[in-house]
Amino acid sequence: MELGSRTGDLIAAALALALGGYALSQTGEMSELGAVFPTTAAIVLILAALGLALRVVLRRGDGAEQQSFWSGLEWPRLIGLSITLLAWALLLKPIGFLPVAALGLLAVGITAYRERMSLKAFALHLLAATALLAGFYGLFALVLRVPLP
Amino acid sequence: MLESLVAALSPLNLALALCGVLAGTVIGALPGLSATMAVAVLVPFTFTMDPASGLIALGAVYTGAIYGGAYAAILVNTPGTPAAIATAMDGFPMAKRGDGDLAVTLSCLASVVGGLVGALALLFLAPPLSQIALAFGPVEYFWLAIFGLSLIATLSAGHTLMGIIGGCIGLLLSTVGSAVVGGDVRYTFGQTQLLGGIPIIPAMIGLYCIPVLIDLVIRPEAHLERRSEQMAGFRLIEALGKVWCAKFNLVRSAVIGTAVGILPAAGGSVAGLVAYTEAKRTSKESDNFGKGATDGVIASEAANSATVGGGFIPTLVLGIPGTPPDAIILGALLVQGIRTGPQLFTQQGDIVYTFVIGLIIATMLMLPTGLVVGRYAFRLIISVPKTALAPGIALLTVIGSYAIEVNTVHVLMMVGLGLVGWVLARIGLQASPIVLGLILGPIAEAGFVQAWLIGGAQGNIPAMFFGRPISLAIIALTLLTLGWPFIAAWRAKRKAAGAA
Repeated sequence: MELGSRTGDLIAAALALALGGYALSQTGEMSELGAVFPTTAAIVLILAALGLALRVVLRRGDGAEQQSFWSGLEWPRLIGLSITLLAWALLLKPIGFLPVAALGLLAVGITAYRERMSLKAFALHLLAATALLAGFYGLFALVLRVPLP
Repeated sequence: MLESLVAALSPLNLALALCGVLAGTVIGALPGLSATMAVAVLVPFTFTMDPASGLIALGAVYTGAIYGGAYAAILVNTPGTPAAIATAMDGFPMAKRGDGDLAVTLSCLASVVGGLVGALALLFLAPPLSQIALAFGPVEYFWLAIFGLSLIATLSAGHTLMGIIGGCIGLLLSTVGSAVVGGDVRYTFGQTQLLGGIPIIPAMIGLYCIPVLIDLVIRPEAHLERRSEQMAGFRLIEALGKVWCAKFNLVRSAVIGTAVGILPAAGGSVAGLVAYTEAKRTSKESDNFGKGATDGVIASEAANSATVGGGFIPTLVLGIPGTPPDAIILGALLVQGIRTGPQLFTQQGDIVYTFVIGLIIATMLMLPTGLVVGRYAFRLIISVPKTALAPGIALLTVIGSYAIEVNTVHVLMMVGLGLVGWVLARIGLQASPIVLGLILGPIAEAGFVQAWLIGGAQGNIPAMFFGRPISLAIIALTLLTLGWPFIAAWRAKRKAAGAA
């Protein structure tokens, strides 16, 4: 599920240049020893990004683009899953593990849902999700003594 | 030693070894539950046991957990433990093309052989081998980490610049928070939650698992290819044939794993990657690596399992733990009144030899246990519909990244890194170089700064970095690794010219 190499390389080079530039700009506030490692990594990152950009320019016209950056995406599912995961992470502490996990399982299940399922299949899914949740809760909270929120 | 063998074969010790391997395998298979956690949870239960029995239980859990990491790596492209990073590189492509059952069986066979080589080294060569650990100072660790980073060139053959960019992103991520030496606060954006840095396990879960989860949800096709004959058996005969053909790779990887395991702080992830790179470098079919090469799975699993025995060598002989689980086991030893040191094998030989033989037995028990557990794990993943699999994986990622340090911020970091990782994967930046940079960054930086300070105090910094024999050997290996893709290309070109 990768992009055409030219677009991907250009985006990667731009991202790496921006990240390397930012990292380098922050090293002035660090001590000499603390700055050595990030400075080296940032310089190598910038050089690699420039090398990648140069390669794209030199190979201009080579290879056809396979797809645009956003082609082939199922947006509603992607956005739904991203929001679900972020909400799961953010609400874990204020609401608690069990209710958030139950809602999260349901929401991820809905985003992955494609084919019509019978009532029996739906009930089986609910049963499996409950068993999964109970199993993990038991393993972590009761056996491993991990304090869940 | 015969008495130790009889003691190790007692029903209680056999039961402890079997249960330990089984528990360790299941815990290791769950991303976020590391071998360290598995061993730590079990330690209090061993205090009331006979010292040798307690050690056997701990060793068995540790061995099982390292092996268990392969399941998640192969079946959902998420290394259950950092030691299984290299396993995912070929294991998951194998599973994608319908050979997941073969990959699981191969990983089991390779883990058993690797574990046995490590345990036998512990049994027969512990005192002399432990001296290797003493010969490694900060500068050697620095060069070892640089050697590890040079593997990126091999791992990203054909996309070297992308590999370097990924590695540097990982290195920069590893500098977030308080500096390992000096205490500089770096790249925290004023957020106190970032002072402790980017945690490796949640980052690894996010970078590997979230992209798989997203693809699982947004793509209509099945998660893994399924063949009609796959519900029938373990493909054990086929796997044995593959292992036999790769016997040199297998033994070499196990030896590499044992040697790396001896070095404190290097660990199974480095061992797996070094063995994987060596397997790729010497393979006649190196182009297949990363696309589902059986040799890649064999190398990684043999090496990471061998680190268990290797790691016990400095732990028992020098009192220096080779890996984090070894540190916990060292604590358990001290509670049991066992004093580690060069005389341990002579003064408390009965306990130590019973433990080592118990570890060998536990490793052998991993064969039936691993095959059966692997079979069910494979059938589960391949049979469960997406509407059940995706929520299950999501729950695992959340609970795994939370549980390692009981921190909800880590869950947010995992999700954030995972979403970024998915975008990066779409533009061709793979997770492995980033994770490699994140793991090796702190080792390289601490080694570099400490060596710099020591060299400065001695008045000769260049001699500190370039004047020690082990450092020079590692530098030579690094140069060979970096130059190998060019040498291989030149040889292929020359061969093609000769044939023409």
